[in-house]
Amino acid sequence: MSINIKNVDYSYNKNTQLETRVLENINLTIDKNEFVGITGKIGSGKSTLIKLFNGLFVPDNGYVHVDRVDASDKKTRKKVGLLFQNPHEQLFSKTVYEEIAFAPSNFGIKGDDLTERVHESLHLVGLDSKITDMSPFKLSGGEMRRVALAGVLAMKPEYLILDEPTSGMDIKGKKELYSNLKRIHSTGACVIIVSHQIDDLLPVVNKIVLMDDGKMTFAGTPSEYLENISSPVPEITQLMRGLRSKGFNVRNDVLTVDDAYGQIKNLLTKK
Amino acid sequence: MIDIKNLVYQYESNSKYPVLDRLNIQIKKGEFVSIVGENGCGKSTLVQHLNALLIPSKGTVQIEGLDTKKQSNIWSIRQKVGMVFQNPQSQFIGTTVQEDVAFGPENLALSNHEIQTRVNDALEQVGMLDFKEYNPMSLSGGQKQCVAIAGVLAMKPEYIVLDEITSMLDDKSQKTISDIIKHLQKNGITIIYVTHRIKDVVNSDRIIVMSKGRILYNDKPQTVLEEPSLPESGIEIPPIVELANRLKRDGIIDTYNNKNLPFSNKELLEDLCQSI
Amino acid sequence: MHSFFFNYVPGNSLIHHLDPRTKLLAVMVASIFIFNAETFLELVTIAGFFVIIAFISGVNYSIFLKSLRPMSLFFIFLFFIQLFLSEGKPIFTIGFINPTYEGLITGLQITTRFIFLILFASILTATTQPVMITSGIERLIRPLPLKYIGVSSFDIATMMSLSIRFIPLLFDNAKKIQYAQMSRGMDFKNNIFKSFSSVAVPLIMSTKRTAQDIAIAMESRCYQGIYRTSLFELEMKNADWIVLLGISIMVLLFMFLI
Repeated sequence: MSINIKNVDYSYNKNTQLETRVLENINLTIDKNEFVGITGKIGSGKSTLIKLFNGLFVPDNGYVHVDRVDASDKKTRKKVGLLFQNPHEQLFSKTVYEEIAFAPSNFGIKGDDLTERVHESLHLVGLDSKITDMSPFKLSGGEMRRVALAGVLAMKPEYLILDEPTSGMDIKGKKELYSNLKRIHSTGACVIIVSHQIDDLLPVVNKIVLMDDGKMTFAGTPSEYLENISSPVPEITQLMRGLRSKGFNVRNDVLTVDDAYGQIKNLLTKK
Repeated sequence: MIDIKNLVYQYESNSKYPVLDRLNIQIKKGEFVSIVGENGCGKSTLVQHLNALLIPSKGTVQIEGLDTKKQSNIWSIRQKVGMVFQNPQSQFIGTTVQEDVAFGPENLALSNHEIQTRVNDALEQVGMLDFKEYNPMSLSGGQKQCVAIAGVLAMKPEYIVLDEITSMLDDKSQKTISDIIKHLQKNGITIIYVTHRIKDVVNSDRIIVMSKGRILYNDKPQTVLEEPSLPESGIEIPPIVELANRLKRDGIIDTYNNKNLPFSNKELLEDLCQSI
Repeated sequence: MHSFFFNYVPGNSLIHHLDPRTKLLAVMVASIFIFNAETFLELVTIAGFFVIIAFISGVNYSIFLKSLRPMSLFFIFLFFIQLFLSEGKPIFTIGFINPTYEGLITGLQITTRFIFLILFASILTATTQPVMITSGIERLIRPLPLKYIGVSSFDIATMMSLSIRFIPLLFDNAKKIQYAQMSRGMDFKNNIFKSFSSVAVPLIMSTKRTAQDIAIAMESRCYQGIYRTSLFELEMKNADWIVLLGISIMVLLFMFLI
């Protein structure tokens, strides 16, 4: 079970003077048990790439297969849940219940099964079932974002993709989101996060994909990433690498403050 | 100077909890002051009082002695205090860069010649003169904010409020913006910088930390950043600062009386090399 | 970037250099002629004028033809309405469908008039920057007593340039929301009402939000809707007066000859 991307090219404004190549020869496999981070600068093509995963965009060359079926096939769309940036801006229903039920009912889920899915999704994002009758527009910004996420989770996607989910969030919101995503991943869904903040991704994911100017320049585990890539890396990593290049014996894959602190303490005790 | 006395602001519909609760702040001319706090702490509401977009429910806000409550002061206050907002998408009025920068001076009913001089000068200052004829929507996020800053500069303000202007930008554009801020400060413009990321503001003269409509800290960056209870305010503390704090507490790095807590990667690295 | 109806093509022709007010007046006069044109000869004369002016502008003819495309459905509709609903001698009759010869003639006439109207307007938009068109309109309507209906000529001009600026944004936004809802299984084929509201409601909300933001941004930059100046000063040059004189002579000739 996997998403397979083979020799994919994609251009905007095809066959016009404004034609611009945004993806070039992408080859990538994402297995169902993975927690993936796709990173790269703004405009590197990462947001375009994920629109190929659920068939919103169709590649010019090559193919995108989801569990061996073409991504543009209608049946794959319910397998791949895609949550856009600022998802609270897509809410439209009178009640939270209707909002979350929208996606599953579009795929033919009805009755008790539907109700159960709505409650289950609310639970997954850490919201109380009591709010189902409330208007989503009466909620706080953070709660609206979570309702939007629940609205995608209710499809029971096997692959959950989030585009820049933390943009404009403060630290509290970020922490909550990441712990929700870890929980969702543990229920067996593949989680794919697109973010330009490498600091947030490296500690949680088990695969990193780096995009640069429409090309995929790296795909592998975080430790492989830290071994091979000099930039972008988190500031803490940069600092420790700086120490290393000055001849101090510290690792080059330090990610957390705790780890860095321990390493520096270590240097002193050895002395 | 800006003088805020006992400022209370509450929405009429939800009058139980004031959005801003008895704030007292003074900002001197030429200062670079940052206002930080988590989403919903009231920081954006506060700065909208500075150019009379909002009027206090109680208390007063005075700009150079001009009270924002007085209707006749409003236009000279808005000329003195320029504002740049978070979303460049919804602050452009013109269809080209120069038209947009001209919008403010046009409202001041300046002469055609004066408008052109100011537009060119403002765009020059933010390094966007070559993009004069461009559609602002075709620019990158960082370039858009530079144009937005130019739009305010063209009004020759004494104070500039930057409200979360880099929250949608990458690190490189962030750097460009902080260079522009330094340049503006050198030209004597007072900067009021609002953000939820403390990382952006370590260069400021003073940090005001807000939480739930009140002021938690109002001090020099190094003093605020060494505050042990700072994380409780919900602010994201840069890992480098957190590490520096811990090392300092253990006495591993020494921040002598005349030296600040190292905020950047480079500074901390230098300190570490010296101490180890 | 989208370009819907304001397709400015930079250039250096005589037409480009005319004051927008001259061009606006010329289009107005042209539309009066167009709507009075009935005979074949008159329509051909107008076509001739278009070809000559378009040639002087130096803009490729295909640009003008492209400006007709968004309106093509309207033209077809207009033509068939006349064809089928005009009274007269039927061409053929099938049930209640009976196109008439009179309908065919008026249909062709009216549709041709509208096509010319768009073509002449597109000369204006192709050779004049949107901001110039709006300031031209502002200057033309400034003497009108608009204050009695509670707006100023500046308000109207600002409103026009804001619309030009925001229509592409609106389309981009609609596209974005549509993608988001399609990802949630939205399909216009089943449950059209709900699908429609899933795009329309967020679109209206975001437009409202943008409108509020832009209002705040404008106020903070001292917009008051009263007298304001402009980056581009409009100036009538000799060429403008000559063109206006030419137009006046044509109007006078027309009035006295017919």
